[in-house]
Amino acid sequence: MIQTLYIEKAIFDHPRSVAIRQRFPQASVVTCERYGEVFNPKAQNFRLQKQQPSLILAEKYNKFVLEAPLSYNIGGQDNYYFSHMLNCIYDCRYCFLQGMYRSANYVLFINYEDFDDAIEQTIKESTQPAYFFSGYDCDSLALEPVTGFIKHTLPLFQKYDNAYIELRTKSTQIRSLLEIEAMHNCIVAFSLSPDSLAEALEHKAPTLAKRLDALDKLQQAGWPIGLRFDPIIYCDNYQQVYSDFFEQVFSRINLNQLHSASLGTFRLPQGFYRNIVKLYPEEKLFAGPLAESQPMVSYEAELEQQMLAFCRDKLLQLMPEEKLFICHDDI
Amino acid sequence: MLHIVTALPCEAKPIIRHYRLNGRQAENGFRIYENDQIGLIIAGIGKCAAAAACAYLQGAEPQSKHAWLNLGIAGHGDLNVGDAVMAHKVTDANTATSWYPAMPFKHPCPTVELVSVDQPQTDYDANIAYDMEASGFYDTASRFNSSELVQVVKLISDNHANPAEQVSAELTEQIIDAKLDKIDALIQKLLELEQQQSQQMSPEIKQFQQHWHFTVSQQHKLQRLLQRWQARSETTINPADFIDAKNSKAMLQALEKKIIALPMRFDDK
Repeated sequence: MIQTLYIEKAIFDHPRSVAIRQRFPQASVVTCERYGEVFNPKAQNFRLQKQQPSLILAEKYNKFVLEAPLSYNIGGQDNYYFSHMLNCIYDCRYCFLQGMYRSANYVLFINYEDFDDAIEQTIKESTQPAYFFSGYDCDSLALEPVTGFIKHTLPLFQKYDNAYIELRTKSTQIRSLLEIEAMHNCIVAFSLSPDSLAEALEHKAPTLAKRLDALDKLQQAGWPIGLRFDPIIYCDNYQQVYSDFFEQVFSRINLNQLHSASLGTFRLPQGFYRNIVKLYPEEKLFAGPLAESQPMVSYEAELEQQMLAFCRDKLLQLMPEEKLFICHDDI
Repeated sequence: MLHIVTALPCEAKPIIRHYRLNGRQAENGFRIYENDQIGLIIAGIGKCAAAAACAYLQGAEPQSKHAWLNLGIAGHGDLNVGDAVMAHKVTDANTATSWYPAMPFKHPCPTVELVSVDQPQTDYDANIAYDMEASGFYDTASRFNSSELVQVVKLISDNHANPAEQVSAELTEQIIDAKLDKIDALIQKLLELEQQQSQQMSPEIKQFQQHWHFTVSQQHKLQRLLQRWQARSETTINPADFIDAKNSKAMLQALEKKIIALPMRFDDK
């Protein structure tokens, strides 16, 4: 799977680096001073690299926990995110990571304990329940068998009733969760799209059916579930497509286990959008009815409102309003 | 198109023979050996010569984006004479600057760290290969294309037991000839990646430019509209579809209108 493993010299002998090297014995191991030497150079093509990404092991020095964008909100007032990884093993055509980073390589920050300290500090300083989002710059679970990050971090949240963590994922790598007792303050949030859209746009990701199966297993084990319908994608028959899709999803949902659902239409910062279009000019998603107004590219305002209103109405026929959150354009 | 830079004639000859490259008439600077897919220059020894060869090749077609390969011999402490290796890290010994060629494909041969030095190396550090060109090549070629399309392949010519003084032109040709299968696998991969990159352009734009005059800004808009058309329609579009458009602005408006009217579905494949 991983052919080239880049490792910062300072952490070459860190136990997690050693374990990951052992996991990929055939990989070429390349040392560097700082991961940015490999990850940041301008002369890189994200699309070509995505065919066979490498793994970069690095140490993070600061900014472990950041305030989340305003619309990253599932009911709390104090919202934060952290990124133990940059980039994702899936290849979703609407994802902002393609436009934000020059490299498709995965970066894993292996100093998990420093993340723990920063999270704990933030919880202690928070006057109200703090929500932490872990799947902002990566999929929270997709590389869990390699990273073990979630297995490491969840015990921290078991100590705090007033802190919540959201694991956002399209993955079926749920074994580490099923091995432990469900936590009321860990929301496993699945990003879901209708089958036809998932097949066309969410390359390398598990099918909708597989994601729903994983969700069902977690739900039965008592884990709070999140549903993330973001981004909603326009197609001529979107009303039929999304009606059928919501029915399909909620036929598998136990509303008592549902923590929250969120809804947002396709949107990207203009700079990221332009980078992505240069990489994938033939992509149908970018040939749709988009308004390229500053600073975000999104569907034309009237259409966007129609789509949101339609999906919201449909969802409210299937779930309670207080659990539904609308995401706006502040990535 | 792939551009290959070698230092010595004996490094180039096996490639010229295998790919049947023809030498252009003598030109100022360098002689280019080529066929319809490959252009090769014998640059001479050293980083400056390699950099100059890259600039010369790119200067011949400044608008184009090609794949690049530095092919030559190198010394190594541990590896056997004749082994083929690709560079996963290229370091300039003088400046300590490093480059990391991205290799998003199955490596046709093992990969090593390569250090470019000014004088032939007689003392080899373990696990490091030494050459005299790669850093000059990489620094320059990576200005012209992204790092996936700029690669370095070296054949081990000397090691502790076989010092550099014993390397001859005949030996160099022999070891390159013996590894042509590995070199060809890399060349084919680079040509494939270069093809994928060039397919991102829209092919019909020139036909439209023959019928209307487009400003630079309109050319960008036309290119994007043609890409959008291709994304949403299985049919091709050509200037005859806009026979009534009196000028470029009207043509672009008409094309945009046609695109908006196309179906937008994701379940039609």
